[in-house]
This record gives sequence, structure tokens and C-alpha cells, in this order.
Amino acid sequence: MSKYIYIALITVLTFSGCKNYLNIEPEISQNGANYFKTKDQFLKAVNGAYAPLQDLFNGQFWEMGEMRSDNTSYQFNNQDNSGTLRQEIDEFREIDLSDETRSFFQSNYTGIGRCNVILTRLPKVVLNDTKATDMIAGQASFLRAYYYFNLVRMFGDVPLVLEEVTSKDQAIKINQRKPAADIYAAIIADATLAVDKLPEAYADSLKGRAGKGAARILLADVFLTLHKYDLAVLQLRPLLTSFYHLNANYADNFDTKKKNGPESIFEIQYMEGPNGLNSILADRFVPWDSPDGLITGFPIDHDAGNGWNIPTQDFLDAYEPGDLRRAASVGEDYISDATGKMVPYVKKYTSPHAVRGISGNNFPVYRYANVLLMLAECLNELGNSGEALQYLNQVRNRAGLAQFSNTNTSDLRKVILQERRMEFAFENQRWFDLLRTGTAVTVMTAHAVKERQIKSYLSQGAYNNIRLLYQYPQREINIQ
Amino acid sequence: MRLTSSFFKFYKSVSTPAPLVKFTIVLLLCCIQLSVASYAQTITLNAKKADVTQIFKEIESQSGYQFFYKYRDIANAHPVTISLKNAPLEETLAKCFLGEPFTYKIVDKIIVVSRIKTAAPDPNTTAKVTITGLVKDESGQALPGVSIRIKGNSGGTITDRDGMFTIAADPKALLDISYIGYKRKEEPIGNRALINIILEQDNQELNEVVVVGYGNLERRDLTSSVGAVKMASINGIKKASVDLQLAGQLAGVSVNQVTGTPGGGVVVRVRGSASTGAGDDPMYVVDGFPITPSFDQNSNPISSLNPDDIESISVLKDAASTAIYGSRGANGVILINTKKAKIGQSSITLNTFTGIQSILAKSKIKMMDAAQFAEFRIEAAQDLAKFNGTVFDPATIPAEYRNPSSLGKGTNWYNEITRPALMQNYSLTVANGTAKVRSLFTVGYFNQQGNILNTDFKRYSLRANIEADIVKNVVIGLNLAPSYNTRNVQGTDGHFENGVLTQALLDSPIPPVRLPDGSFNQRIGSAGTFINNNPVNSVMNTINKQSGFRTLANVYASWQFLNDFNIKTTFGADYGNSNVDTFKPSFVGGFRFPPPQLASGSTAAYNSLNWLSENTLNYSHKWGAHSLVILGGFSVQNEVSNGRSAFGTGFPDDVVHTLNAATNITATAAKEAWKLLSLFSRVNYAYEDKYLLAASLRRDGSSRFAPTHRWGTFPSVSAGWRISNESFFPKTTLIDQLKFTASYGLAGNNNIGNYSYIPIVDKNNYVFGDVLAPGSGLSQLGNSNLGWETTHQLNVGMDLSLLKGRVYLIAEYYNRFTQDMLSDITLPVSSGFSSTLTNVGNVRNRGFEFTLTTKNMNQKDFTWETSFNISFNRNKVLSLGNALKIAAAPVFENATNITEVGQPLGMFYGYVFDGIFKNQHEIDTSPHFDGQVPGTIRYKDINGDGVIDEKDQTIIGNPYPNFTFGLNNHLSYKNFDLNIVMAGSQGGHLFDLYKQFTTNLDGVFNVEQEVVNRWRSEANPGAGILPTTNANTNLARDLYPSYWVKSNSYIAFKDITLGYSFKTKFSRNFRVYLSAQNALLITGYKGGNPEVAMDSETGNHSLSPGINFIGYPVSAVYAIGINLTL
Repeated sequence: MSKYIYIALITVLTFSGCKNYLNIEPEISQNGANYFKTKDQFLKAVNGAYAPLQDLFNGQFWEMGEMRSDNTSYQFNNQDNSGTLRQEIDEFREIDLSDETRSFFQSNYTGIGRCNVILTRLPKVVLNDTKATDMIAGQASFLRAYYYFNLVRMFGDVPLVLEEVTSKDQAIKINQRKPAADIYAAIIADATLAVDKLPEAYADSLKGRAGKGAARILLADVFLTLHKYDLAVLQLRPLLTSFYHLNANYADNFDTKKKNGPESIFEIQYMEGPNGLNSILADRFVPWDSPDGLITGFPIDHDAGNGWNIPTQDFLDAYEPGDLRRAASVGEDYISDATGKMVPYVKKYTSPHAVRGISGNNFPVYRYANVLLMLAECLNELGNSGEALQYLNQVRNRAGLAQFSNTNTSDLRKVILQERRMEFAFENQRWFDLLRTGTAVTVMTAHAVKERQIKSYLSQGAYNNIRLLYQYPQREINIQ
Repeated sequence: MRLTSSFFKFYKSVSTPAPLVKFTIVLLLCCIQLSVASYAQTITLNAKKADVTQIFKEIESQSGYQFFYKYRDIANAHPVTISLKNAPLEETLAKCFLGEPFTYKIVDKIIVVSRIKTAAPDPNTTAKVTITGLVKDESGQALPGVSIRIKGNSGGTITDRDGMFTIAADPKALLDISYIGYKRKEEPIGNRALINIILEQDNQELNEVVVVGYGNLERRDLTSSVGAVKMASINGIKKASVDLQLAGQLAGVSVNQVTGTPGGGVVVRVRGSASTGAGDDPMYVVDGFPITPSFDQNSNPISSLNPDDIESISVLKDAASTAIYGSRGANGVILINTKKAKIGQSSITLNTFTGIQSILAKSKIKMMDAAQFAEFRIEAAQDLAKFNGTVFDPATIPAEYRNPSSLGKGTNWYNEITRPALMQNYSLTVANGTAKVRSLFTVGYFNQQGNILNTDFKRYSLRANIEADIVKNVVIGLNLAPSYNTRNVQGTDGHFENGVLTQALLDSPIPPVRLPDGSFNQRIGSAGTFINNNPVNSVMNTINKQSGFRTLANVYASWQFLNDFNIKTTFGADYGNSNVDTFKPSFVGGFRFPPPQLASGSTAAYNSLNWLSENTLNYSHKWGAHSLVILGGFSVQNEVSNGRSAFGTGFPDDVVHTLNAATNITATAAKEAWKLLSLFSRVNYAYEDKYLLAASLRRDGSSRFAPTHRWGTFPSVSAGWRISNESFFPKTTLIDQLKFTASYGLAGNNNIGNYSYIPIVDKNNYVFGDVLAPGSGLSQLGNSNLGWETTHQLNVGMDLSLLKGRVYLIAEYYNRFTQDMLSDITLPVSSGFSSTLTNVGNVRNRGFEFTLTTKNMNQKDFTWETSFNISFNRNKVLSLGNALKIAAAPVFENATNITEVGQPLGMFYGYVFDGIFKNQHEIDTSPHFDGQVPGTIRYKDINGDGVIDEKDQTIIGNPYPNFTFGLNNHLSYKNFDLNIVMAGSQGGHLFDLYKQFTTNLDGVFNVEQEVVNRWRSEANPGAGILPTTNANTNLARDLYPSYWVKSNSYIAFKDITLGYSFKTKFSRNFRVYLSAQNALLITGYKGGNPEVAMDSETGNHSLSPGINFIGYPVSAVYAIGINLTL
């Protein structure tokens, strides 16, 4: 009898309950179809939209924004060719299949995709909290603008996606490059909205989020890049009277104990520890043949992952005597066993840490010093070199350098560019500076001559073609 | 003896003893019997009208057996008249009991006599008589378990272990005697009381019982494509798991032992590869339970099964046979049934072997020894000086290379980390079958040491298969198979970062393994090479222990009612849990990281429960010339799995290895589930045994697909025509049977992971205020249209049996068309996602298969059977949706394989080697890379644009063979038997990706001996393949040159077993054998195992087949073994 009951039970289960019986939701993650309903979920989504920044700055930003320029190169390792892709970027040899440029491209779009989900779904729900809604929309707009700003400066024309992609067909459809001007228009719209919606400041526990100041300086940077100096100045001036100011000590900007200090307007947040939210740059930038404990206090040993972003001789030569920033920026105490020569290395991200490869330095994107130098640049271009000097000299004073007093626009332009080079060394500003000021080709051509004299191993293709844009990833072209 | 007799006398006076007393006495008797000297097994009797008790006494004294009876039962005994000389006991008893109103049964050495219960006399029937019979085969061997029925009546009996039966029947009736493998016989009774019956062996091929989905069929009635493994020919093969034994056995089933890892995975493909995104592994069904396949280098779900437990294996190949498994049948189904005790069987079987495994010298890659390596370094310096136009200064040569001949052979690291290894197996089976209860118990132990130090696999297994007829027409059964296994694992395969085999090949041969003080040399390297850790130290001291407990259990009940109906309900469960503990001490280090390094460890635990409830109703009916079988059923299957793992660093010392000692610990967890609901049915109809028709239908609902695409329907039809039964077919003694079959059907593939259609929100954390800020983001683009991958298959076959089964040929053609292939397609990253799983593309596999079985010799003392199979499969991608091609890059960023429309899946991909540039003039006049110098590789400008770049990559080889074959020979001569299993493959290729390292010309690694023949100058160009050491050496490794594609055609002697069976009194079977496996490999391939493939951790084999990146070596095994049955 029990058999019949059993069979009957199973039959009932099979024929009536099967519709729900086969619905299994994953337990270790949530179903996105029902997500994004509450304030908390949107706040988490915003945090998630920041996350690709960590990959960008750990990964390719320093290769494409710094090592590409005349500031840094790599320590040659004749025993290892596993870093060829990075060497190619340094030497303008990378191809359209490069995994490095493709990764940079992808990380930015991953961030944009997350912002699109937020900005598409937020208007469809009612959170009953205007402040929170503004903060969510403001941050997502800021981040989307910033990601696009990276893409347009590196690749020029790129696809412009401003809504959530929900199907394969839609994904294929949006894969069309749009003129850079359209991208800039979208960036300006987003950044303007962010300036409007974002709060001036955050509580200490939320430090690191983009505030109104971050949106302003981003918007100013966009206008500066487009040479709309007057519009840039409009955004920069309010920052002079805000709560930001220069740190007395330049090195404090990179001190893990003084993160998000008074000079910081926007910086990428990292933390030491096992959560995978750490910086990896301390180990990346250390000479690969350096002995145990040179920087981090525990064994390093030979590693192909190391020896990158090494300051060039060209860069070291550019320091004025007495520049206080030199000791905070470059380590010049390591003599290579192999060559008997000093190998300089980047010191800004090398605070001691407990576990190899896991460090906690934040990475600055916009500092108050940049407000001063951007303002100086704009005012100089607008013919107000007198006021420009004032801001330039604030930065020079802190670096322990003499005041500059030449008001010739052309001379001042060079001086400001030089000052930016030293002030923002290894902060991924140099390549954009060269692009914006139209000096990339001449500077890099001259730099190539110097590099060839030092580096006998350079192949014939190195520095042959000083390109202003990276090649559009072939992978994206292949998808119809 | 006297004692027992007096016991009997005492007992005989007691009329009805309590059961317990009876049992005690029997037990006591058994004990006493053990001490009694042996007695004659034959009886000599002469008696005239003797009292039956006298006869009993005489038999007792001659045989040592004891009678056990109640006086009441023998009160009506007739006097016995008998004359026998040296007759066997059974015969003696049969004759004595002729016509007596009682019968007997032997329990151990006791002859239990009981009254024949006679039914109440039926006035309508004539009086029944009791008949005793003995059934033997042609050689005189008694046959147990033979079915005896009275023709026209239901019910009947079966023969006991001695071939005897007793049945009451009308003397005019016919006995219907049937037994699998023998011709059915009808025997008139007449006035005989004792009937001797001799059964003739039937045409075995035709009547071979083949297990199919939810049932079994005789081969003659098959209308679809099913391969049945001849267990006799694989039993000799000594392997950890049964899938490894299948190589070369069946047409259309390719079995590649891609790794020699003890207990490791096997790549099995039925009729080619057809899927890019879902797996290509066939489905395994053990005793009706579909198990979840998860194969990789180290694990194999079939390895928990003791091969000695297996009764039958069949492989369902075409859709007509697999459609009954619906959504999981597309890649073929392998049905494994375990042994059960047969009625009348009572046996104890011991199987054991011990073997030694050794790596064939042929399978080792020839690296330079110390002297050769030093010479190579000196020559490289000379060549460089010449290239730079400077004078060679011997003083620039590092001191350790200056005198090569003094270095001798140096260290062969590959030999240092490998060893000859033992393999042993013990398996004990006790089977006991009565008409009421059949039980079989097995206990097994298998221990395989690996050929690499500190690797092994051990299995402890138990099995209980019990079946009982509890009441009339109701059978209940239980299969319970717990097993526990342990593995010691090392990172052996692949890239030198993790693979110790590759490390061993690349380590400098100059430094010794140990320092003079006996401790390990911790820095392995010589001038200019990488400084590495010591691989011997590494394998001996790295801990990676895995253990797993698994139980496969099935309970079932079936009820036969209204004669033709059978209802069966089954509940099965597969429970497994496993643990992995690893520890890497600080003194082990890594390749390019000599110790000390930070110690690290991990611990992980997984468990899964998979249960199945299945219910079937079967109707089978014959009327006139028609026969009809209808099956209907439904099932529910459900799996839940959990995993937790934790990883730790910061161990204060190397003493405590467990994770509690670590100071930094990270942990993760996983949890998954799937469900499958199914309804299925099948109809088999035959008319006059000439026309066969079958149709099946299955409907599956799977939790893995989007709600609107969740249910799939999988129909099939097949038909057979036995033309040889037609009246117009010429009557000939040559042809026994000629049958044509055709089938068409659909089967699916749902092997895509559990939540692929759902847009998944994953954690994407960030940091604010220097603390973790929980974040989330969509990590997977949902696909609400995700549905089944469906395979349509047409199969046309012919079965031909000649000369009374001496020759049997099966020929088949198939066309297997896979539609809506599940595949991960690339998305533009501007969508925020990089790929999504979708139904895209079509692949076709088609081919011919032939299986020829011949009985070359069939003498009394000499038999010889041969089975040959050959398969031709052709694979072609017909569509990839909107993708042009799928590039697979299993290790590096550069793709090794490419899948394009119009080509087979996963063709080798790289640059076409076009010789070596002899001089500068050649370079200047040909397309070349920047800065190429004479002596470097010239690649072909495939697109003719005058530039060599990534666009010049093209297809450089086909991994698939033209055909594969298997040849089995089984011979027996008197007591000797010889089994030879061969398997081969012709026309396929491998891609020697490992040469990227072993022919690296920079001097940072040891290199293969063939590097001696590299290009050194225009006058000394060597073999014309390997380039100069001077410059552009990366062109010979970072780009994949076409000369890495090598033919891997081979013939392998998978097994040669020679056995001898002793005739003994104490045993029914006692066989001793010697066996050699893989001992002979005929191939031109020099990269080791010609079946090698990348381990599965790196991705889907079907998109990147045939990549040799150094795998665990497959060794030859030499074994001695015993089969003993009591």
C-alpha cells in the first residue's frame, strides 16, 4: 500500500508541482532579475561600480599612462620574456591584439556597465530618500564620466552605451564606435549632473567616495583637455575656497597612515589584507633582481612580475637641485648585482606590508596640487599669467624650489608642464599631459634617441611610430 | 563420526525439534565435519529391495555426507534396488530417490530429506509424477540456474548448483528448458523418472544479451546501435577504473588515457566531438543510476567502482538508443551493471594481482646530459662571438662548462622524480543464490603507486547486491556500494610554473640532487640558467592528500502482475564527500624560486548528494506471430553539492601543517543544485521475428534552463528487417541471419553548469574609509532563451551472422548532427560583459563502424576467437552562429587551436614554418620580422601582404585520426588461455607545445638532444629545423611553428595475458596468469604517450584537443595474478 502512496506522491509532484519544482535560485549569489529594488542594494551597486578602478590602477593604467611616456620604462630582464606585452607598450610596439590595451578597454566598460545598470534602474523605483537617490545617481554619473574620459583619451572613437544591456542581441547592436566629440558630450553631461547632485563632503567612514569637488575637477580636466580654458576655470575656482589644501609635506600624499588627507580630491582606495582589495604596485615596481627585503621587509627573489615602471634617466635628469619631491618619489639606493649599476625605482606606493604582493597604498587621481597647476595652465592660456604664477609657486614652494617669475606665456607653458611632470610623477598624468599640450610626438621622439643610446637591446621597431591613440582592440572589431 | 551418528539417532526420535535446536545441530555438525578426513566423491552401491535407511547409511559412510530427515517423511518409502559403480553422489541420490515420495537438498555436507508436497488431486488432470533431472552442457559440465517449465503452464523451477531439478508433471507434458547462451530445448517426459538433458550452446553473438536503457534485449532483436563489451576480453586489463579498460573494445568509442595519474581521468568520446560549450563526456549509468560526470587529471567518478564488480558494460551510440535518456544522451551513454548472484550459484571468488609499472624508455623525452649541455653553452658563446664579429675568448666561458667531458651524464632529473611502481589488487566475492534470495558481497582493495614519487591511489570498496523474492511475483533488491579512496597528488603536468615533470626536464643536468652531506641541493642551476628549487625535494615534501568517501545505493521493488505487467520502483542515491589537504613547506620553493619561500597550506571539503526516484511500468505480450513490449516511466533526479575551502599562509614553522597554524587565512564556499524531471516511454514490436519496430519518447525538464525553455522532447524511431527469415531468402547453410536496421532520433545535452541562464549578482567589493565596503554587480548576462543542445542522429546498420555464428559482422553508418550547440560566445565588452552562454552553431559527425567477430578455431582443446573493430569518423563545424571562429588558448594568450566553419573542431593553429634564413640576402628579399638575422626562422606570409604578423597564423594540422581500430584475440589451448588486446589510431596529430620550453635556445633551460642539430652557420645548418642561438630565439617558441605538429599514429598492445587453469578438487576454477599491458607501443611519435591531452582544468578538450604539454606518463604494467573460485 505504501508503494501506491509513494507513487501517487511522486506523480503529484511530477505533474502538478513541476513548474515550481524546477526553479532553483543560486544560493551563493543573487538573481539580478529581482535585484536593485532597495536603497541598500543600490548603494552596494554603487560600491560595485567603483570596483573596476582597482583593477585599472593595479593593472594597465601605469603601463599606458606612465610607462608609455618619457617618465618610466622597465628594467631589462634577459632571462625572461614573459613581460613582452608591457615592454611593447613602453616602446610603441603593441599590436591591436594586445591583451594589455584590451584589458584596460574592458575594465572601463565593466565600470560603465555597472553605472548603466544603476542609472537605468534607479528612475524605475521609489526610494523615498532624495539625498540618497542624489548621491547614488551622482556617483554613478561621476564614475561613468570618468571611465569614458579614460577611454576617449586612450582610444578616441569608442562605443557609447548609456543604458543597461540585457540581451545578447542588444550587446551586439551597441558595438559601434561613436565620434570622440559625442563621447565628450556625454562625459560633460554626466560630470555636470554629478557636480549638481554630489555632496561637498562625506563622513570619515565614507572617505574615498567622489564628492562635488571630485566632479568639479573631473569636469575641469575634461574642459582643459578640450582646451575650453574658461569653462575649466569656472569649475576650478570654487575649489580654491573649499576645504582642500596642500599637505605641508609632499610625502604625506602617499602615506598609508594619512589616506584621503586634505590634499586628496579623488583617490583609488586600496586596503592591505586578504580580501583582494589590495594594491600590488609595491612589488610590481621593485627591481626584479633586488635582494630580500629591499623595500618590503621580506623575501622578494627574482620575479618576472617585478622591475616595471622604472624611472628613466631622462626623468631623473629633469629634477632641479633641491627638489624635496625627489626623495619621496624615487628610490636611488639599489645597485644591481648583475650590472653593478644603480637601478632607480618608484617609491610612492611602497609602504611596508606584511604579505608579499599585498600592500595598502591608495593611488591618487586628483590632488589639490592639480587644481593649482590646472588653474595655472588655464589662466596662462587665457593670458592671465600673473595669477597663474601665484598658483604655480604654491606648488614649487612646497617642493622647496625657488619662485618662478617669468610671465611669458610660452615659457610659462613649458614650466607648468615641467612642474606637472615632477609633481605628478608616477601618478599616470604624464602621457595625458603630453597629449593635451600637443607635445607627445616631439618629446617622445627626443626621448627615443636617448633610450637608444642606453639600451642596446631595443629592437628596430621600438619608438618607430609615436602613436597618440592606442589601437582599437581587434577583439571588438571581430565581433559582428 | 560415531558421535554425529548418535546425535542423529537421538534427533531422529524427536518428532518436531525447535528451529533453534535444529540450527544448532547443523552448526555443530559443520564444525565437526571440518575435522573429518576426506571421503570418496563417488559411490559404489549394490542393493536389492533394501530399506532406504540402509541405503542412507551406506552413502553416509562412503561420502562423508550426513542425512537429515524425519522418520515420518520416509515412512512410506519403497524398497530400493540399485546397482552403481563409482557414480557421483548426485547421480546416486537421484537414482535412489527415483519414484520415492520424498526429495532432498544438500546444505553444506548435509543431505536434507523432505516429503514432496503433492497438490490436492485435480480430477480434470491426469496424475502427475515427480521427475528428477540433470542438465549438462555438451562438455558434461552441470548447468546451474537453468529454467525448467512445463510447456503451456506457468510456474516452473530451476536447476540447483549441481544441475539437478525436481518437478511434478504429467507424463504427457513437454518440458521447456531454457538457459541464456544455449538453445532452447523441449523434452517429452514419457514414463521416465530421471531425465538427463544436454543443452547445446547457441549462436552466442545473436543471442548475446545486450543491456539497453531501462532493460535488455538480445542482440538479434536490436534495431539501434549498441556496443556491448565482451567482459572476458577486458578482465585481464589491470587498471584503476573500468573506463580505461575499454580502449580498443568497441567501434565508435574512443578511449584515450590522456594521463597516467593514478586513479585519474580518461577522455571517452562516442562518435566524435560535438559540443563546444557543454561537455563531450558520455553519460555514465551505474545499475540504472545516472552519475554526475566530473573528470579531470586527478579524479574520475568511475574510479570509485571496483572493476571486478562489473557484470556488463554497454555503450549506447545512436540517438535511437540514447533518446530514452533524453537531455543527457547526446554524447552517448555508457551503461554499467554490477554482478548479482545467480539462482543456484554458491561461490567464493578471489581475484588478486600484483604488478609493477614502469615508464617505457620510448616515452621519455631525450634531454641533454651534463656534458652535452656544457658543450651546447660553449658553442652558443662561439656562435655569438662570430655573429658579433669578435674573436671568441675561451675565458668568457663560465668555469663549470669549460671541460664538458669531465661532467659526464650529470643528473637526469626526470629519472630522479620517477620510479618503477607497484600496483596491487585484492577482491573477494561471495555469491549465493537460491530461488528466494540472491546475494553477492564483494570486498576489494586496490593500491596503485604512481610512477612519480609521492603519488598514489588507494581504493577500499565494499559491495552488497541482494535480491529477494519476498512474495510471489514480487522481487525486492538492494545494491549498496560504499567505497573510500585516498590519493596523494603532486602538481605534475603542464607549465613549468606548476608542473614538476616539465621542471625536471628543464633543470640543468649539472648540479647533483644531494649535497655531500646528504641534504638536498636547494639551488638547482648552472651559469646562465634559471636558479630553481630541487624537484626531488619538491615532490617528496609537498603534501597534497585527497580522500573521498562515496556510496552508491539503490533499492528497488518490482511486481509482476496479470502475467504481462511488471511495475518497478527504484530509489537510488549517490552520496560523496571528499577532503583535500595541502601544505607546501618553506624549504620546498618553486621553479625560479629556490627556497626558502613562505609556507602555504589549504584545506577543503566537498560533499554532494544526488538522488533518483524512478518508476517504470512494463507490459509485454505475445500473441500469434506478434510480440509487443511497452515501457513507460517517470523519474525525478536531484543533486545538491557543497564545497568549502580555506587557504592559509604565515605558518610560523614547517612543523604543524594544518591550517590552524596559519596566521593569514582566507576561505570560500560554494553551493549548487540541479533537478531533472522526466517522463519516458518505449514500444518494441516484432512480427514473425522478421519485422522489428521500436519507438521511444522522453520528456525532460531541467532546472538548468530558462523557464520558457525548460522542457525538451526527445523522440526516436528505429526499425529492423530480418531478411534472412523471409521465404524468398535463399535457404543456405552459409548465412544464419541477415538483418538491416535503421534509426533516427534526438538526444540532448544539458551539461552547462547550473545557473547559466540567470543574470547573477556577484560581490564586487570596494574600500571606503580604509574598511571594506560591500559591493555588488552583475557578473553574468542572463539568457532567458537558453535551451537544449540537440543531437539528431541517423543510423543505418547491418548484422550478418555466417556459418552458425562462426563469423559475425556488424556494419554501421551514422550521421550525427548537433544543433543549437551550447557555446560561450564572445560579446563586445562595451556591453559590460565579455561572453555569454548561448545556443549557437551546428556540428556534424558522420562515419562508418565495423565490428567483425570470428571463431577461428572451435575444437575441444583449442579455441581461438578474434574480434576486430574499426571506426571512421569525420567531424565538421557547419555553423558558429554569428562568430567567425573560436580560438582556444589553453595556456598562453596565443591560441593553439581554432574552430572555424567548414573545418573540424579545434584544428591546430600557428605559423607555417618555411625553413631557416640562410643569409642576409634571403632576409632582405622575403617578408620577415624586424631585426631578423641569418639562422632564424622564415615563416610563410600566408596572406601575401609582404609582412609577417598575427594575420599569417593559419591551420597547421588536424588532430583527428583517419581511423581508429581495436583487435582482440582470445585463444585457449587445453588449460592455457591467451588474450591479446591491441588498439591503434592512424592519421591523427599532436601539437608539441612543450617544445616551447624544451627547445628554448636562450640557455636558461636544459634542452632536448635534438638541439645539437640546430642551425649554426650557413655552412653548418644542422637539421634545418631549429634556428640559431644568436638572436630572435623567441620566433621559435612564442609563435607556434608548424613543425610542432607531429603524427601520432600508433599501435599499442594494451594487454597480453597468458593464463593457466589448474584442475583441482578444492576449487571450481583456479587460474594463474601473467599479464603485460602497454608493453609494446609501435609509433613514430617521440613526445611520450600518443594519447596525451591537456588536463581538463584548462578547459574544454573539444576546442583544444591534442595538445601535448607534458603529462603524467602512462606506463607499462607487468603483473601476475590469480583467479580462484571455490
